[in-house]
Amino acid sequence: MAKVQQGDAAAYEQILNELGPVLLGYVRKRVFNREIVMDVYQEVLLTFHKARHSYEVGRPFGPWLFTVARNSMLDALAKNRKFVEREIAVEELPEPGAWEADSAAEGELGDELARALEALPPLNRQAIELLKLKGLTLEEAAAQLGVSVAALKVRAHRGYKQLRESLKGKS
Amino acid sequence: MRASHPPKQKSIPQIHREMVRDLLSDRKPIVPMRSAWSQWSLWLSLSILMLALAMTLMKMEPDMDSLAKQMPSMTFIFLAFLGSALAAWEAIASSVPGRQTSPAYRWLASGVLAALFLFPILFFAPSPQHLNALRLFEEGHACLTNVSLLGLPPWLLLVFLVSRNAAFHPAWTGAWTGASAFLLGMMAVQMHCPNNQWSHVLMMHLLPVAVAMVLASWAGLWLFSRWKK
Repeated sequence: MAKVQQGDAAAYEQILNELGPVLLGYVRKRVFNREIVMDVYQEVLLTFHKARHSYEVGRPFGPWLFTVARNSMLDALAKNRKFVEREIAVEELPEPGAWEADSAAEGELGDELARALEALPPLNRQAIELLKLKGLTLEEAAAQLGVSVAALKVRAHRGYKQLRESLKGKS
Repeated sequence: MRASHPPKQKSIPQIHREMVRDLLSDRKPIVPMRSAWSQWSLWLSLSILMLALAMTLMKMEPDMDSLAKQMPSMTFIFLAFLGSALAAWEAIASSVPGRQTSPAYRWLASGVLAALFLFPILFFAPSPQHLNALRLFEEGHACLTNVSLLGLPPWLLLVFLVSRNAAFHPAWTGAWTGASAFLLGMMAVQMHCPNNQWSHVLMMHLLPVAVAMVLASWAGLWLFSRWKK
């Protein structure tokens, strides 16, 4: 971990690949909803990355790692719960009337997309809006949001995935 | 003859590969956090120095002669110092993954805080029969201001130290930063203030500590979760 804190790429890659199965197993044992396991796992890895400065070299690694894993998993589950609640709220929207059904198919799809985008968690939505709607580069968007490029990529990636799920079968 | 197959390897999930690539692209040398013990000892020693300096600047000389004759006051001051030191450790330890204190420790720290609030009622001089809040404030507002002013620099120092850690429960951490810093301020005022009526000590010395805990807990939500952004 000392090398990781010094920015050593090889050491970091090695530790991530060694910890990957351990952390994924940890998450799988505790998260029963298979659809969100990988989202939670990503959050755990991202938090590991952000918290790596807080490891005191020389102290046992296990308690540090599993405190980070446990808390980031709980945070991710809480975020997902909010997202699920939001999805339900969108599904409860009234069915479009007959005149809406007659409107052009592309317009309908545009509305669906806007609605699905609106339903995304704010962090993921901001990432997509800046990258795809405003056309900013990764660096520019990351600077505007005050996050690292890696964090921005993860948010955007999650957002795309959630959009895909929301729009499945509607195109 | 049966063909021999190589042992099947578990494939690495695509998401993991992408995450590793993203995290590696964001790797840069970072300054490791100072150890929890060194943060605690640094805070305690610098805070005491700041307190001594502030008391000198505010011309608040401790009345040691009369203090020495008053056992309850001395015990109360000792309890305040103990409570402050325990609270500071809880604030720091709760913001370092893997360093969380045991439930017994948290009970002890909370018990000392509770004892501090009960102490004046049990051992300090009785108050006038008809307590008048307005009069209490008029007579004692200087103490309230001093506790707040003296507690602020140690709190800012502790916030600076703790915000560089990785707190997962920022409100909890924040509450303990408030308790530790403002208890030191309260201790300094207690050494100086000649009024030992329990109502005065409770309302003008201890109430600011309780308020500081609530406000610091709220501020902690923002201050101690910035590392996640």
